[in-house]
Amino acid sequence: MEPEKTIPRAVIITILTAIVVYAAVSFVAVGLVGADRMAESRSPLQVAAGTMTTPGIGLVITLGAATAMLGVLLSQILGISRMLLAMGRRNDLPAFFEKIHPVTSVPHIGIIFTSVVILAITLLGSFEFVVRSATFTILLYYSITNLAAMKQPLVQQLHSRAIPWLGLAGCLAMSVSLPWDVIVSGVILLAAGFGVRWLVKKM
Amino acid sequence: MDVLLSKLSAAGIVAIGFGSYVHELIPVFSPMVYSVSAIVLLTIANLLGIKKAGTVNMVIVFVTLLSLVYFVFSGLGALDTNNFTPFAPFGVLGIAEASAILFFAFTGYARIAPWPKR
Repeated sequence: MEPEKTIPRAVIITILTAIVVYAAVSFVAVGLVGADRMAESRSPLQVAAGTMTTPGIGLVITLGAATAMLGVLLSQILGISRMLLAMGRRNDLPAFFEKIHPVTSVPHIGIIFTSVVILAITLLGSFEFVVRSATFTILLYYSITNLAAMKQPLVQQLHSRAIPWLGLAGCLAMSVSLPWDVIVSGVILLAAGFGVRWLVKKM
Repeated sequence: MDVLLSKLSAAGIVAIGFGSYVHELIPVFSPMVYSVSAIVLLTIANLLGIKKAGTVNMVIVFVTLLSLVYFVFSGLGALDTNNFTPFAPFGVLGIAEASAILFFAFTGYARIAPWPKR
């Protein structure tokens, strides 16, 4: 149960597994049908699977795609509800988001709020603007994580200080290589976010 | 605030993606029925406590990984090396842009474009 040991280990194992799986899948998919045919498709792995002869491969890939979506959805509900909790604690959002359920010890208000919004987006559709700018805002968010890691006291740092610097450089390099309209919509969204935060703080 | 909005939108999009994939597998109900059921069930899993949510996540990740491993082994025998040339035709910039988009994929957002419209 020692989180100071298990969490860093879990992070490293997860990243290494992800690298191996991503690399193997892309290697096989590109090797089978080529990058051009993959780029033309909305579901490139299904195109690659279409050339395979192993039994049930099409079914397996669609099932894997479905569970991949499910996994993201589960972890988004989990993550967003904890973000709401943290923002409630810091007064960036109303205080009722701080509430923890006495029996299950989960931030139930945040979970239900998150799910209702996700349901609404699913039924009504999302703002294309938000989706388009998401790549940029996510990269910015990871840049901030790297900055926070740099500011951490030395005794709390598990690895070399070079890691957050490399991370920051990587995030910034990736974000500037995005198409300009993505960057512009990201900046506009950020400005709007700061506006809302200012309003919440005023209330 | 913006990350919140991005994540919520992404979650909505993966819910739609899930619905359309399951509809491909079991075309009994409309995709939206599957999307909404997934959101409701995963909300319940989250409300039951972090341990239950963790177990559900384990099962989901296991099935996903298993399907990818099956994919890799199914394809390994039939690779065509010609498909690897030209290698990185857009140079470092191409790799940087692809990485940025993949970064998005890491949080599961990549499915924005690929979910099949059928």
